[in-house]
Amino acid sequence: MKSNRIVSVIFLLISGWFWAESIHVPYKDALFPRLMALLLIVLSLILFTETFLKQRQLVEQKPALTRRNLIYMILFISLAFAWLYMMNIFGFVTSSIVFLLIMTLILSTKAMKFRETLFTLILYAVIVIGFWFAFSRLLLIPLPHGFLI
Amino acid sequence: MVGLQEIFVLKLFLMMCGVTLVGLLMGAAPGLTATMAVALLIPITFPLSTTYALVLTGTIYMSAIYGGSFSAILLNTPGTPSSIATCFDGYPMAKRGEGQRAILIASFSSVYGGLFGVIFLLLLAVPLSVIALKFGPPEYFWLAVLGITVIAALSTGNIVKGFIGGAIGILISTIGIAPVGGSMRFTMGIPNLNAGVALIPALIGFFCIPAVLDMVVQREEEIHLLKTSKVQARLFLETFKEVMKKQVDLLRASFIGLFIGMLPGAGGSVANLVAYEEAERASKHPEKFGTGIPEGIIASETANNAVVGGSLIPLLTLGVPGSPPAAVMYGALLMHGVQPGPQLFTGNSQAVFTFIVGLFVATLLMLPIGIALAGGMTKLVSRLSIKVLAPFIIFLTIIGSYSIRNNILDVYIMLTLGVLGYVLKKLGFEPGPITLGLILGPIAETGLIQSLLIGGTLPHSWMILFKYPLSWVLIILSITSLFWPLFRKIFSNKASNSQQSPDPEV
Repeated sequence: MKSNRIVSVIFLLISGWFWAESIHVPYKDALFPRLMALLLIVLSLILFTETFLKQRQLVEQKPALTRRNLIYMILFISLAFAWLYMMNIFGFVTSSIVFLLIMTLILSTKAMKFRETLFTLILYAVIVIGFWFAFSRLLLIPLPHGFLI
Repeated sequence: MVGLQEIFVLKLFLMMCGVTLVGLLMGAAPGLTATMAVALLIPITFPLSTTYALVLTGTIYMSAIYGGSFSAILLNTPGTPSSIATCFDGYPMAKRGEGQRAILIASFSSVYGGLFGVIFLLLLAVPLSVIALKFGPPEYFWLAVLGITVIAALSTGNIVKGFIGGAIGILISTIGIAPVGGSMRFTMGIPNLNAGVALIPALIGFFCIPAVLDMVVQREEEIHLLKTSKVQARLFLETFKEVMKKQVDLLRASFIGLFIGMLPGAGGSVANLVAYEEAERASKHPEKFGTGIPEGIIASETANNAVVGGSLIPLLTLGVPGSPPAAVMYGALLMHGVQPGPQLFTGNSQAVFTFIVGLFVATLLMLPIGIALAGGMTKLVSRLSIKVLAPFIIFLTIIGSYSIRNNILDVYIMLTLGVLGYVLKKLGFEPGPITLGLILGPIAETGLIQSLLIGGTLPHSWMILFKYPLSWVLIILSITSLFWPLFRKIFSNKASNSQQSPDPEV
């Protein structure tokens, strides 16, 4: 219930922003976004009202996300963004191999042995270089490059 | 004939075999959906011709849906949401030591449903495209409205949330240059957003990233695998005869899959459950459903593969996708400079017919490849650990969203929308309505604004939206779909009163 209330308020704010921004746009091009913003406002208000009216009927699903999993997920997402950032500095191949390995080590439930880590590293290197070769050399689609490949 | 000649070019045929294999693997891997398989293949098809790209994306769509049955039967985990109902009877059969038989039943049913859908696609595509040519801006506007009402009405859970998802998707689609007037809107001063939010990265983000984040959460869960061995020839023939005897079940599930596939937005995930429920309702022994009987597998697997052909009918004829994977295929067509819709049949008719023939061949290809690899493939899929699979999918999503426009901002948008999609999913907002809103938004806006411009001669310009009979047909369909949840509730109440439903836990 509480999450639905928060979400409906966020959607109200988003639709309000779209409405406010559409003021600067000519009527013809603002009409449709305004209608949609209005629709979102109405739907958000219904969702907001539902949380009070159907409080007894609706059983909120408890989130299965533990604190530990949440930390893992935030870490994983942060690593993905860092990967993109590093791609322009170190290049596609280098950053991909490094970040793939880091992510695997983090997701591993048991500590990986040196031999397994080395095998995984070689596997990722082969895959990444294979993709890089296929895209950059065969398909002529340039991939991000930094001071390394 | 031209389509057949093109398909039997060795290069394309080999590519289709490879893509079928990849599709089967992706479909069989829990967490990897058919939509994701199509989305990840699209960037790879970029340098290929439109015909090749279409055939290969269709092939992976069909095979991934089929692949989902393997893990549903052997691991009690649906490989794709389209195989949820396959678990109900497939896994009990596998537990009894009839895993091979269950896989064969799923294989024959999938091929039957797939061929049924493709044949109807072939039969209905041209007549429907002729009708679609009569569509003007008002009809396109109402068609988009119908799409939104259908996706919301058929979305699981809260219907208001389904509509909100659709509205959010539409609002995201309005970012960038306006389709009719050309004004710049909602770009927040970011030049890279002038061209709008790129469709493919958005689709990849909404469908792939939440699945990966789910894997991160489930990283400690173990998957237990049942033993499988090579399929025996005798069992193959016996099961084939057994499945073919159940023509009524096959046809019922095929029609359900075809019809649900044709509805804009509804896909295999809805069709397999509806077909299962209907098979149970029609059965003389409904109490046996859920205990491991072939009828349950036949219903689910026939329907989900019939969806493929059905979902492509509105995509090719009207430019409105019938399912989430078809929505991704819409993006693939646009990427190749082809506008889906009735014009396809005049400008690119050869590519379209080659595609349909390709889909037919791909459906037939599934059988030998699937059966030959049944045992080994399931073992391989179950051994792919999350610690390797999750980073590798992120790698594919990065390549996929970057290579469309060689723009790193698209990758940032993909990741951001993916995280947003995950959060929204956890709050009960499914990605389906959001992504279809993204696609239907520009169709609705262009239809509405052009209608109002044309209607300038009438006393009230908006009256043009209600002027033509086709518009009224679409309005009535939209209103019907709006009240569909109410009908569904009434039907399900009646059904639950008469009989007990199977254990939905999968």
